[in-house]
Formats: sequence, C-alpha cells, structure tokens
Amino acid sequence: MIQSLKILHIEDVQSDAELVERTLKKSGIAFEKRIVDGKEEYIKALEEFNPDVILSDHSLPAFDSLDALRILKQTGRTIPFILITATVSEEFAVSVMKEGASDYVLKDRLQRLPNAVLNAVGKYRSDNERQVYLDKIFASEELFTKAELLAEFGTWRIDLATDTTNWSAGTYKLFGYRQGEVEPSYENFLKNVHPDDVVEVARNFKNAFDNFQSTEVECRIVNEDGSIRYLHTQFEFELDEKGDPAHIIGFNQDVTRSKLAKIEIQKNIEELKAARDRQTIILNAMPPNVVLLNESGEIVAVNESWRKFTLANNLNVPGDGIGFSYLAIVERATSVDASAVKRFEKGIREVIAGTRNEFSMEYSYYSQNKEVWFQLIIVPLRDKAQKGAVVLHIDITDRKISELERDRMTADLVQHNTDLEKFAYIISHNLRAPVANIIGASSILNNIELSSADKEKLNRGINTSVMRLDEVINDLNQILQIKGGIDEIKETVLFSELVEHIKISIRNLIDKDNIEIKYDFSEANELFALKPYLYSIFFNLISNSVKYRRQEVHSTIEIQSRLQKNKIELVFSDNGMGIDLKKYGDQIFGLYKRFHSNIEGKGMGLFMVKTQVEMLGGKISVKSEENKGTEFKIEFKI
Amino acid sequence: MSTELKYIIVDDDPFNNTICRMIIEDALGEVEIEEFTKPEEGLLFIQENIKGPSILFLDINMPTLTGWEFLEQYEKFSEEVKMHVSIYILSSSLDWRDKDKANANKYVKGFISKPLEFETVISIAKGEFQA
Repeated sequence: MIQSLKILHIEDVQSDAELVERTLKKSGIAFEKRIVDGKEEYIKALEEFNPDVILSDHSLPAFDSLDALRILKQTGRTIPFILITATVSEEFAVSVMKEGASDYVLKDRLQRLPNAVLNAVGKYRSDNERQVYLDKIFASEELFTKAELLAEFGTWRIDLATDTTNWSAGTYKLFGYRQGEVEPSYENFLKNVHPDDVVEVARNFKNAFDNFQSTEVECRIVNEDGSIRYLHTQFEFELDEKGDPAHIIGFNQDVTRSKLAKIEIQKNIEELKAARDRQTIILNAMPPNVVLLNESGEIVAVNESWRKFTLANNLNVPGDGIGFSYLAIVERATSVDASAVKRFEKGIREVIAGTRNEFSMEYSYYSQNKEVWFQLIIVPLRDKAQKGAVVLHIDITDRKISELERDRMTADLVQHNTDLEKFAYIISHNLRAPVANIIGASSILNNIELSSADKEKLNRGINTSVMRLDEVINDLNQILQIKGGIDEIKETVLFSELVEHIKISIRNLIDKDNIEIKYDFSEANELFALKPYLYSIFFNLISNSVKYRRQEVHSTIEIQSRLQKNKIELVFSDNGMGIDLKKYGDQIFGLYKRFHSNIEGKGMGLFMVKTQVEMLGGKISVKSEENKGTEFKIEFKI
Repeated sequence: MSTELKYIIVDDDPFNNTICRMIIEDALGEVEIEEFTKPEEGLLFIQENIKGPSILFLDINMPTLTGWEFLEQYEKFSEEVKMHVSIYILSSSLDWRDKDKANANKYVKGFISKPLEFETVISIAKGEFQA
C-alpha cells in the first residue's frame, strides 16, 4: 500500500494553493496537504503534521522562504524543501539552493512540480537510508577495533599491485607499536621480532612470498618496554581474476597467554616427571621388595627388587605382575608354608579394608636349597588418588641367621653351664660320700665298744672309702686334663688304625666271647685332631659295647664313617642290651651315671666321650632300644 | 606281729649301711633293721612287709633308681602302707636344692646330712627330730 505523502504548503494566495493542489492531484500522487501562511502556524505544523516534503512560496507577508528553510534546518529534520515561485532571478534561486533547498519550480511551469516532489522525496529517503547504513558501518568498525584490542588480534593487508601495506589497530599493538607510530611495513614488523626468532621468521616469510603459499608463523615480539609477547600470524594470498596473486591478507593473534600456560604446563609436567623419576630411583634402590596394591588387591606398581624376586622364585608373572591380583601370585609361591600364606592374605585383606592399621610378620622358605627369611610389612595407602596398600618384603636372612646362631650359642652356653653345675654336684657328692663314711666310721670306732670283727669291718670300710676318695681325685685330674689339654698338637688320625689298636688291646675279651668288630671307613678314614682324645672316644664306645653286650646273641659292633657336605659322621652301633632313653635320656652322658647295677663301671666312660667330642668341636647323639642295641653318632665339622 | 619300730636303710653304698646299723643299734639296742643296696628291692620290701610303724633312711644318689624316683614309686603305694612309714633322706649331698626338694615332698619327714649320728637316731625315735 502506497502511503500518501504529507505535504506542507506555505502559501498566502488561495488560488495559487488550489492550482498546486490540482496539479498534484492530476499527476495521481496520493497526498495529504496542509496550507500555512504564518511563521507560528508553520512551526506548529512541522511538529504536528510531520510532513514528508515542504512546498514554499517565496514571498509571504510575514516571512519568506529563506526563513522557512532555516527554521526547518533548526528542527534537524531532513526532508526536501521545494521553492515555488512566480518569477525569480537565477542568483536568488542559487542562493536558496545553497541554503539547502532541494529544488525550485516556477509557477508558470507547475506541470514540473509532481516530478520535482517525487524526485526530492526519493532522494531524501535514500540519503537517509544511506546515512543510517553508514552510521551502522562506522559503529561496527569501532566495535571491530575494540574487539581487536580486547581479543588481542589484528589484521594486515598488502596490496601487491601498489605495494601498499595496511595494519589494523590490533596489528599495530601486536607488532609492538602505538597505532600509526610507524609506516606499516614488513621491515618495521621484523624490527620488533625477538632476535632469537628473526632468522626463522624471515626464512618462513621469504619461503611463503616466493611460493605464494599460505603460511603460519609463530614468534616472540619485543615491546618498547622490553616485555615479550608471543605472536601467531597466519596469512594467505588472494588472487585476481587472472589467477595472479593480488593481495596478502594476514591475521595476527596474541598467543602469549596460551603459550605461557603451555610453557607452565610443560614445566609442571617435567617437574612431575623428574619427581616421579627420583621416586622411582629411590624405590628401585631400596632393598625391600615394594608392591603397591589398589583397593581390589591388584598390583599397581612394583620396584626393581620385586622384579628380581619374582624372577629368582620363578613366579612367572608377565609385566612385573602389574594389574594382577597380588593374592593370586602369593598363592603361587608354593615354597612358602601354607599357614604363613593364609596369615599373609588375611593381613592384606584387613589392611585394605581398613580394619587393621598395619600388618607385619616374619616368614621363611627355601630358595635354591637355602632357607631365606623375610619380614612382611603391609601398610595402608590412602592418598587422594587411590586407596590400597603398600606391601614390603624385607630380606632379614642375615639378621635371622645371626639370631639363630645367637640362640644356638646361648643354648650351648646354658647347656654348658648346666653340665658344669652337674659336674660340680657330682664331684662334690662323690667326694663327700666317702668322707661322710670315714667320719661316721671313725666316730663309731672312738665311741662304741665293738667286737674285733666289727672293728675289722669298719677299718676295711674306711680303707675302701679312702681308696674311693683317691679314685675320684684321679678322675677329676683326668677330666681336668682333657678340659685343659686342647693345646696339644693335632695330627692326622686314621680311624682304621685306631680300631685295630683297640682290637689288639682288648683281644682277650673279644676272643673269649667271639665278638665281631666291623668297620667301613671308605667315605672318610681320617680326621685332623688330637689323637689321644679320638683314641679315648673310640676305646670307650667300643668297650661299652663289649661290656653291655647281650649274652644270648652273637655280638657285633659296627663302625662306619659318612662324609657329608661339611662334616664327618661316625656311627657306632651294636646289638647289645641297649638303654631306656625315655627314662635315662638326659643322664646318659652324665658323670658317674650308671644304668646297669650288675655290671661293673663307675659312670665315667660316656661322660669322658662327650667331653672329649665337645673339646674336639664335635657333637654326640644316641639312639637306643632296650634288648635291641645302641647307636652313637658323632659329628665333626670339617 | 611286732609293734616295735622297724628301721629300713636304702643306699647303694654298703659301708654306709653298716655304719647306720651300728649307730642305730648303739642308740636303741636290739631293733629290727633292714638294709638294701638296690632301691628296687627296698621298695618291694616296703610294699609287701610293712604293717606297722617304720623309719626309712633313703639315699638320693643311686645308679639305677634315685631317691626321688624311689619316692615317685612309693607315692603309688596304698595309704595303709604309707601311713606307717616315716621317711628321712640321708644324703652326703651338701646342695641346698636337694634339701629344699626333700622338704617339699609330703612323704619326707626330714633331710639328714651323712653321716647318721647317735643323737639324730635318738631324737627320731622319740619323735623329736627337727629338720
């Protein structure tokens, strides 16, 4: 729908006004018209009627067209002003046009008026629209500059035909200049590039310009104040219609923030890596096996000792067992005692579940025929990242061996002390008994009237007691000689030679009862030792076997040597009377201990044997069964 | 059946037993005295023959059966036997542990250090002996 034009007509002559109206109506223009002839009326109409165009007669009684034009300008309205006049000089018309009138139409040529109105209105409309458009452009350019500066980007452009370069406001700033400070040029750009980057940047640009190739370049820009920014510039070539490069369009972006953040991140990553490497080095340098478990008991990390441990024990876990259930691996360690494994599993479960703060136990197993000891420590792992447990196995074999050695030595010392006490007890008893007899007997002799037979009895008794005293003192001397005699010279003693000597010395006994003495020293026939001691040991054991033989069987005595890894074993066995070890086990090597009242003996033999074996650094043990026989085993370390 | 106190001596040393017999006879005159050098025989005698009050002098150090082992066997005897026997350890031992052990045994009346003396026999017979 065509809106009707609002026409304000300044005219004081009624007929002229009607003529104009008719002319316009005739041309078919839709309009609405108001006629004013005074200044006040004109101003009011401008406000109220809001015309699209003003037609003005030149001279009116109250004011003229120039006044009307000035008033219109004062209101700021941009609408066409057309002068309609009867006769007018060229000069006047020009001056009105200069003042801003759009056109002028002579009254006798009114037929031109409709076109003049339409043209003027059309022109003003498009002018107005263009102005709005231009305003918008100006506004968006300002916005763009603001955006450039805020977002730290910029553009540049080189026109290759004219060799002119343009930098946007953002580009000036990014290249380290104030806007318009220098001529925008490649040389001025290079001036502010960091000296370390210049060569690389120039090379990249040259390469791009030579080949008309779009390129991205990153470099550092040194600002006037010495601060450094990171610049990313990216440019491409625009071709003309012939396909030749016409422009280069560049886009700059300040990447300082992301670059610094990247550098910071990289630095953090490197620091973390260094810290982790240090921890790994420490972990790997630690002798204990270290295994980290997650909440479900799976291995998360291990150290070098653990790797070696799994290899040494053929645990056969791929990839160091990471990701495997630790308990499953533990169950594979069959060399470890099953009950230890159970305690172990319970400990891990409890620590991971948090029902136990720490678990520790010691265990041992045989690795390559050697008993090795470990201390197991399980502590909970509770950091932000994960829950689980740290399992440590510490090799305590050396400590354990010295502990066992110490225990053994302590036991030996206690045993030795007990032996000494028993020895002192027995000696005192055996000295005291005859002395008591002598005191008793002499007191009777002194105080009681006795028959000569009784007197004789007592005298004999006193004599026997004195002999016994002497005997005990001799025994004591003998024992003390053994104990003190270890400094004598050692020599290589042949076992077979010893046995043959003894056989000769007790030939009468052997022959009388047809006792058989067999020996087998094929494995070991000699020992570097004190010969008198070894002789005494062999003599006592063989003569004991002879003494306590069973009359009803053919008596045989067998002596055998066995060579073990680091020791020689000598086994003396017979088929004699034997002894009830349940009853006498702890006394068999005791001084003056006798177990057979019908056979002579004073209980010195086995005591001497044991003492001498121990003086030679050996051990003696016994197995026996009544009416079957006895077996003594002596071990000497070599 | 004699209601006289019976004396039993168990010691592997026969000379000790001779001395004891002479001392007891000197102190108490004619009394019944049994000597055993094998403790097993002494035990058997007590078990089979003791029907009245008797006094036992028991040695500790004997080869086949010590005085302590003797007491372990004795413990198994019937109360009828045990009620009659007053046991005294007669030992040459000077070790305080033996004395303590003897005093701790409920069947032992006292510990006597060898040799047995005239006064000791009198006080035991009168029931006045104090360990």
